[in-house]
Amino acid sequence: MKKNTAIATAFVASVALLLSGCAVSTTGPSNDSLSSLKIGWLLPQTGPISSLGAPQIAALKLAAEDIAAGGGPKISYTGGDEAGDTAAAGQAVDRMLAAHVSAIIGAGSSSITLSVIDKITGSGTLECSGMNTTPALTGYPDKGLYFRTVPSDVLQGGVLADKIKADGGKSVAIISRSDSYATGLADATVTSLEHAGVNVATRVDYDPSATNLDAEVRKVVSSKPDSIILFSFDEGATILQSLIQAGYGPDKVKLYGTDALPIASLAKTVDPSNPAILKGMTFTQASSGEGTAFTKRLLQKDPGLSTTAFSPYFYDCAVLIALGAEKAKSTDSSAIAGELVGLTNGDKKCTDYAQCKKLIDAGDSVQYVGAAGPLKFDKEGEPTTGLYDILVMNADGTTSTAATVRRTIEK
Amino acid sequence: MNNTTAGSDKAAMRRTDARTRDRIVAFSYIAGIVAAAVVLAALNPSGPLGFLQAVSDGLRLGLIIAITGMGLSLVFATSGIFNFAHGEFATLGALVAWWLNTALGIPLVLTIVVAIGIGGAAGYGSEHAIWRPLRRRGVSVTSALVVGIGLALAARSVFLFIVGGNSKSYAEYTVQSAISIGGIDLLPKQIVSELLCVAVLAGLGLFLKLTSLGQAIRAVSDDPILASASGIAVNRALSTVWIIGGAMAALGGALLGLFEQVSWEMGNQLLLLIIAGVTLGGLGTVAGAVIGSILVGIVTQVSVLFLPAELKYMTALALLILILLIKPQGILGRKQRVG
Repeated sequence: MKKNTAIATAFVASVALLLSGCAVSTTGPSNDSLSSLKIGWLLPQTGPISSLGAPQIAALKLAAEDIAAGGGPKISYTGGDEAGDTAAAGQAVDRMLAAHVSAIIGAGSSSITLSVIDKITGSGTLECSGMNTTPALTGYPDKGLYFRTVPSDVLQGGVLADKIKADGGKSVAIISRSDSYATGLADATVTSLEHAGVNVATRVDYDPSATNLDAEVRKVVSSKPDSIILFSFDEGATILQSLIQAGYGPDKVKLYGTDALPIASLAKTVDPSNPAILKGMTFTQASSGEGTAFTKRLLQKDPGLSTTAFSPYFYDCAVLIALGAEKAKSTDSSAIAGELVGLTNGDKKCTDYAQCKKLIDAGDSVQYVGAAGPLKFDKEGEPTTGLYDILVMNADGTTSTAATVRRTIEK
Repeated sequence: MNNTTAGSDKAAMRRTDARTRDRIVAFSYIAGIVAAAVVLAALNPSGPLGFLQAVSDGLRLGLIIAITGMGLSLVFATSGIFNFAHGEFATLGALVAWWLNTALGIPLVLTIVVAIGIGGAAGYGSEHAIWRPLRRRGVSVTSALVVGIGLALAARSVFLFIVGGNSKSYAEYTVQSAISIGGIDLLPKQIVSELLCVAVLAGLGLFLKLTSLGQAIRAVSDDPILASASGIAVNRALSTVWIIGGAMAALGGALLGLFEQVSWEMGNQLLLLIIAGVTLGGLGTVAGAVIGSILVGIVTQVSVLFLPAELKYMTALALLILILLIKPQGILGRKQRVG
């Protein structure tokens, strides 16, 4: 850590030196209407999530067209591949920072973001991601420069709690991996359940590297719950096998899980000879924003896209940054960053760049309701509202979407 | 262990006396642990039945640790190599059984037999291709240890490359309904697995005691130079040990796949418990490795009743350290002559 900080400091210092050479022309708010805005993007063109990169880049292009058509600045992008590799992502970021971008949109993967966020925000540049859902980024010391348009996984806890309450659950047992993802989510779920008046009978946090989880399952079962929540990765299959063998299958209790479980192959892994083994198990999944009016428009424009997952969230990043520059009348990162929270919490709603710009020009306080819906950033730049799918497992091991719900944190 | 030459009767008697005393001490440790268990059972929040259930689950895990770890213990006793790649024999066994079972549809019972064969062959192969040439060249114990660690890493990477990182299930016996015996839930596959482990361990004990090859192995583990000088084929004994060790570990891994998921790193995850179990019982002793492994299995399961689940391995390893502090050679291990 110390070494990283030292490198980051050295980097900031060198960037500051570089910037001081050309500061005269680039920094300092000007009162003229903005003519152009430089934005970098760091998205997966190669690597494990490369299938998601193309629609996200398409969404950014569409955003640039809409901004220009709405009377906004001309956006010029500097792109870089995050490549699922921290070293490659770091080099791409260096290139963008050297091009003096006002903001960087990305990365797609939370772990890549965690590896470059110090470099980006340390250099005083704004960062916005439409796909980072890890709770580890909440409260991150980002100098107020990191934003995301997709909510933290923690919001899922509330969705689960509401669903359990609606299903009539009275006594809930939680079995959870002891890692940053599951612990944050389990904490949020416990709080929401207690708030809803549902009893949490027991909570067992297990060692993610443990091989044998029988004792943990016995502990869950001995609390005689009517609902059981799993916050697990693929070891969830072992836990489900043990639960069913202990007589706590989905025929006896209500089972709940999240999208961290390998949902599509789960029933087959738990029992290859009986795909109906998990029939009725319920899952919550962060909505990737597919099937909205925006994604239909994106597909019309770019019919070759194989998916549109998370594309609305990235569109919102670009529009929001342009609006921030418009409002601040500046291309300076911190000036833009200072406007973003206000732009999602104002009095008058607007849904696209042209509409919002008119309101801003008229001096109104606006609330940008983007392609993915309302954002309502909290003071740290995190959306306080998000869209979730509730899936139910069928007898053949596939899932159907039972409902799509919007969850909002009350302030 | 066995007196091949007619030595002094008195010396032999003294040794027998000393061994009896050692055994009495060892069993008094075990009695103490059992007494502690009874107290814990009375105190435990989920009642004596919950405690017995944890003991039953622990016994199943402990027996699998014992048969998987036996090879590690025997190899160490005979050749002085502490094989860090031993867990990979277990992974190999489970992966072979899984692949034949799911991809080719061969009944699991048969695939486990094949897995045992391949595990034995892998043990024999690693002795002949790696360990024997290293010994011949006089590689030090520390270097051999590093070779073992390297082998383990390499084998894990190969497993990961071939089968991928996700965890898998057998096509049969994955989910069974439990039979309740006196309020304790037992799975049919658990009963079969436990009986099989006991039979294999008893068979190994008899083999080492009664057959001439078994006696040769014990002689080598007592003193390889003396054994060699008295005309025992040391290399043949070592090959046998590696075959037995690889085969038993493959069986252990395949059985573990019945209760957990089969994955590329399952053997490595078990290695720590194996090391704890065989060291606790006394390296190189069959009965010691069994008792130590069962203790480790039971302690990890029981500790979850009292302590947060994240601490369950801590309890087993704390017990290991405690017992080694009192009895450095392990519960049933013999005192090592120093100097």
